[in-house]
Amino acid sequence: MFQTFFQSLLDVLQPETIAIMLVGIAIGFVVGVLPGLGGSVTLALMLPFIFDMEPVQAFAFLLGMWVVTATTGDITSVLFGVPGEATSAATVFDGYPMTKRGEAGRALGAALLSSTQGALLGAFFLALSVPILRPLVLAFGPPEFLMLTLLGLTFVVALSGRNVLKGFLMAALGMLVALVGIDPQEGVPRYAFGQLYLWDGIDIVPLVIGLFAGAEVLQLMLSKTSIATRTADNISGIRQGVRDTFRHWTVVVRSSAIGIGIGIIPGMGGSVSQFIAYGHAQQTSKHPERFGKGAVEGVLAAGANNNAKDAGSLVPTIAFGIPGSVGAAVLLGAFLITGLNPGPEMLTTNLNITFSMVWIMVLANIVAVAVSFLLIRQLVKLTLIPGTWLVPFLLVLLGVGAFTASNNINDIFVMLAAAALGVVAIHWDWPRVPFLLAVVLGGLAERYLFLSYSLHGWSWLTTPSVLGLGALIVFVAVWPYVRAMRRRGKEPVPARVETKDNDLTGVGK
Amino acid sequence: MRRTSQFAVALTALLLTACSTGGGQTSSQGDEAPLAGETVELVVPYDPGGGYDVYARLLAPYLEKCLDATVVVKNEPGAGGLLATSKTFVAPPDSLRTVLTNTVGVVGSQLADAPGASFDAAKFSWLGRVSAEPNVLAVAADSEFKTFDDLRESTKPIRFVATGPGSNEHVNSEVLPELYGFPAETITGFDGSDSARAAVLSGDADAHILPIDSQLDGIESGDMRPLLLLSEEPHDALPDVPTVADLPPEQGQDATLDALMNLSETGRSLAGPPGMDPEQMAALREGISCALGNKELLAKAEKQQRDVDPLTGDETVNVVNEALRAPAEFTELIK
Repeated sequence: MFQTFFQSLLDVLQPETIAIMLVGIAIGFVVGVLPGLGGSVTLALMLPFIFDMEPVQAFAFLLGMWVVTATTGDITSVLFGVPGEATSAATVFDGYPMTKRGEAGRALGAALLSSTQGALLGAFFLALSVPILRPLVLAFGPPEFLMLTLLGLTFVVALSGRNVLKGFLMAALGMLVALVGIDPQEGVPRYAFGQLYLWDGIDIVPLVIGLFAGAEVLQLMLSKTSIATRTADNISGIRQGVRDTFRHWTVVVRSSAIGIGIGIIPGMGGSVSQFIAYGHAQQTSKHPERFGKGAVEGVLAAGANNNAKDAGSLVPTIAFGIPGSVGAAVLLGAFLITGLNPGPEMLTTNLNITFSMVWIMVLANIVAVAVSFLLIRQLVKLTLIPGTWLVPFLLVLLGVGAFTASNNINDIFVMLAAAALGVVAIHWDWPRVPFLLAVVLGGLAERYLFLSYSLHGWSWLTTPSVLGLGALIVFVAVWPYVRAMRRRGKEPVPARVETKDNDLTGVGK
Repeated sequence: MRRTSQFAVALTALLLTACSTGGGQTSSQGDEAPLAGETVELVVPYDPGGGYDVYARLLAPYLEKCLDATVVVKNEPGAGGLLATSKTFVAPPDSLRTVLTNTVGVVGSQLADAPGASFDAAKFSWLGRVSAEPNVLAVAADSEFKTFDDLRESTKPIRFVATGPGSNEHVNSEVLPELYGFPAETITGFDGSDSARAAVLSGDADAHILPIDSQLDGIESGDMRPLLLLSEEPHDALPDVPTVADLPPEQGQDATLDALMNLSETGRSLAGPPGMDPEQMAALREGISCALGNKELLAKAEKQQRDVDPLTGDETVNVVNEALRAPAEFTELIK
């Protein structure tokens, strides 16, 4: 197996394959930076070009392109607060406030390097999991998925820090929005008001864009200044960002693990795991109150997670032909075009191709990040452009980004409504992340609850894996209070309980 | 500062070019082709990556050549494919908007009088059929059911999986047990055929009915075992799998079987808005026939294991009307 592993590196390093991969990387780079043009749509557009390619070349082209979009999508998120990809939305939460503070270089350094680290960890996991790929995918079913979404929702409330009640109410509002659309079980439209657009529920992309980017652009319009009024020394900023990824390495590792885990689950969708990773990073941070205001751990969690997730979503694709995300679904088409059958063959006769995917993920990310680092200085200068110059450009990005989600004009209205909600939330200091997370997870929780019941009756409630996850949920919910009480017993109560020290794992920093 | 704003301008320009590709190109190139220089929209009612998307992107370049027009593939997912179809139903007749419909779903939801079926399938300008793959019933390779007869003799309900009411999977899973008289239940709510298959593979459910091209990769990898081809004729890809002709249904179910077969005959078809200009319609129909007859297209389709089984516009109209005439006992089943 080891010989095959290194032989496949040589396959990837063939001059022709490398050239094809570089073309893929270049396309992925631009697509990732531009909001709206999604990685999966571009993959679908490029599919016709692989008809005459060898399998390894085809994957060098497509996979190279796809993993790079996840990395460079973070650049737009950090600089303009507009997610370059739907999967880069969580990078906005802290990356954009850092840019406003003048720390764009540091935020970009952290986002890009953590992306690469996430990709490396994901690729490492993919290579390691080859022998157990198939049992691994089948070990989890709807009951376990349900418990994972509940765990995510528990993080939501903990996310709101000092304002648990405000966070809870925003999450409840999010759950209500999640109810819009056809119910997954009986096919009955809910709160659709006769509008077919609302049948699929509220799309996450225009919601994220409006809630975060839209609200910020409106503020920029009113303030008439540039995004950042000053920038710190770029080079030292980048260095600091790079150092941050090592200083907070536990955040990077754990967020990658979350990404891999959720990527493996078909149907959880690529945009969910970033929020769960972000929530977990805040929950375990010593300074959860800094999140949303420019905490570098938030950037690291989002960056590492979203590249690791791609590797995770390849696991069920390779093992069973069951894609873990939309992007992986398009890649599945590439399997068929190049004459490969996902399944046992990928782990025996075509093992070299499976391993070549691991190498492609690693190499493509390294190339993309190296190029990005060369460009950071120029990119950061963009944030010094006066708002009056930048706003029209950003408005185009917002509109295009929201519209291309499903080519429907109603997406623009959803985006505008979300922007209004975002402005209100900022003004009266209500947290936006719990709302967004509840919209995403609410629908999934409902789906998996019904599926668990129709597949297993109530017996699923007592399976060991569900009980274990349930215990973890209770622990996550109760631990901050236990910790606070214990501390109160030991030492005089501080006037403000600001630093909720609730490091879950006890690993610390 | 000047350099940076120039960069922003360049970025904007790049973006605008990206948006406008496929926009209006109206330079006429003589009068040999009636739609020369026009832009035809080819709408896919689902996300990229699915079967409909693959067919549309396969067809587009050849349709461009045959029409001498620009063909733009556009994904408009929503309401299980019904959103794009409904939008086409109310589109201006001269809008050159065509949609690759899941005609089984469209006709099925109209028969079942489902909410959201706000169109009359008979009124679309049907332009041609691309394919109509027969459905295959399959179980997991390690299932206790080795043959279709094992399934038929089961006393405990067979658990079928389906994405949602109104889907092709759902219609078939509701009708088939009735035809053969065995107990069954359909578990709906999966977010896609892939997650539904995962439930069969893990043993949580028993059987899954999917069109042959979606079922084939699982069968060839050895994960799924095909038990029945829901067609009257065998299929080249699965020559040994029994058909409904080999295993006749219970007595008195002929009308229901015919209705189910008629429905699956509608397959993946192209429709334009009602009341399309006869000249435009004739040009589009001819262009689609020309593209679907292209040898290169057929070779590419075969490589992807995608059946191409074209019907002309007129034939498609007949097939759709035939399917719409389903008897009441059939429509009751799929409601």
